[in-house]
Amino acid sequence: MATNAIARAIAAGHSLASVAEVVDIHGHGGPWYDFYVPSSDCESMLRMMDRLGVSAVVLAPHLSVGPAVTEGNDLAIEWSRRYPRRIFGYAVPYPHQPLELIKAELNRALDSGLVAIKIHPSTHNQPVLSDPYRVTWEVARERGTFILSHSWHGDSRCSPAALAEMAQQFPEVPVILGHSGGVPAGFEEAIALAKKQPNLYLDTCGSYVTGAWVRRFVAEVGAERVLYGSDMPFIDPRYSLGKVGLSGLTEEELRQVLGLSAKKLLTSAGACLA
Amino acid sequence: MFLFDANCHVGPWPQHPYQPRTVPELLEETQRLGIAKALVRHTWGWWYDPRAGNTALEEELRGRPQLLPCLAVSPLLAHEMGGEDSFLEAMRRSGARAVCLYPGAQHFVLARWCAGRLLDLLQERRIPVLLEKEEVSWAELYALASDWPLLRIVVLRTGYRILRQCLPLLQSTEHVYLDISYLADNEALEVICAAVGPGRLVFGTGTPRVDGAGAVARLAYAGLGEREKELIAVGNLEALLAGAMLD
Repeated sequence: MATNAIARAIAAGHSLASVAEVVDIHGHGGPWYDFYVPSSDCESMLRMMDRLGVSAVVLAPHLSVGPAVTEGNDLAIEWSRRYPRRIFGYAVPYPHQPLELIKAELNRALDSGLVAIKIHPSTHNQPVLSDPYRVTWEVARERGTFILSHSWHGDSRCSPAALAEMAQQFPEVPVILGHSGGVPAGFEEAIALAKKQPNLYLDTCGSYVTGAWVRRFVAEVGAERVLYGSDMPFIDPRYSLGKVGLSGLTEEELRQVLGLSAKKLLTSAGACLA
Repeated sequence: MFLFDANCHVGPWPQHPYQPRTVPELLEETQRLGIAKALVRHTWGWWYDPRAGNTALEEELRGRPQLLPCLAVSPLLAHEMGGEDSFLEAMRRSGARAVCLYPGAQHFVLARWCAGRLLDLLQERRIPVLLEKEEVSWAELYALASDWPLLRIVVLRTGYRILRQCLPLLQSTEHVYLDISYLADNEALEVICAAVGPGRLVFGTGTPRVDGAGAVARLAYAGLGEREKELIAVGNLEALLAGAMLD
């Protein structure tokens, strides 16, 4: 069944700590309005990471992708200071502010230790192709960091095509398509765009992602631009880890997807990894 | 760990060319995931005709003792299933010990006025009923479990955003079970076990619409004891099927 050490460890439910370095590029934290999220505090998430052997997570608390960006960024700052090298935080912009305030909040959060930027054009109901997000990309370029965006096929606010247009306008800024477009039609769209646009990255986070799609991402885009993401604790991370780890990728490809791709981005952004 | 999959299909899908679709392909997938045994449905039973699906399923699973059939059934027993006796005979002949209902796609209602005789029969004979969550609301499940309190109901592919409804449902009923193919709220499996015990969960993959590797890892890494994991992996489903009275 399991073809390499990483897959065998996952099938047996063993921590991956001794066989691969795992970095989760797509995490959240805290409660969320439309369903009960058990064990969403950062200590519980760390216990989960220890169980799975995940060395680090990059997260945006639900508060920041929801109703209170500044308080959410503060929470990310607090958690990343409390657990350095295990928890890294995304600075999130609130796109309905004046542009100067958006820029100021992002810089404040990045100055306070957050390492990259996350945007959620869907929950914040703001198309990515708009001035608030252009300012966001300008900050990312100035700070030499990357952007993770929620992406969803058919949602004009955050379709892979819209995000690819931003990636084209800002070729220095790596852009991770969170959920890789969300649904199979979105995966096709994301793959086609990533093949043309070298600063676009795909993540493995999502209900519709399967091992077959992960293999396809790697075959078409290259393992260096495919990143493991879980959505923890929005979604239980064990589903995502199983789909990636048992996908049939080689051990080398798994090492890249599960950790090395994210490490490279984080290191370029100045993050201090263990 | 011995895994008994409560949730997989063979056959073609109208909406998407999912793989695997044939029995040999399904067996390759069960081998990939380390699954020893599976309760199998046929897509025709959902998307064409229950009786034709059951015939196709019986044919395709013949000589595959590790694949057990789960027959589709319509509440119009006399019109669509050849009558009650004929349906029960089809179950005995094929070795089936569970059925599946698709009230959403097939347009019927899980209430006495519409499906009363069928639900009475399934309850009397302790035949487990598999229901895809997308086919039925939590409120309908509660009504069903209240009106037929001894009916064994296995809800499949629940998804996430579920705990505010499914936890009270499990706590206020005795014979509702969930598969773990995509029981995806964070730590939902552990929360449910703590609330109602491990006896209400069964292993399932959702093959081919869901990648079963997710459920394999979910159970492997569950924060439960080995005995609890074994119940979910195999014991609970074995007990449900063993309870069916077909003779």
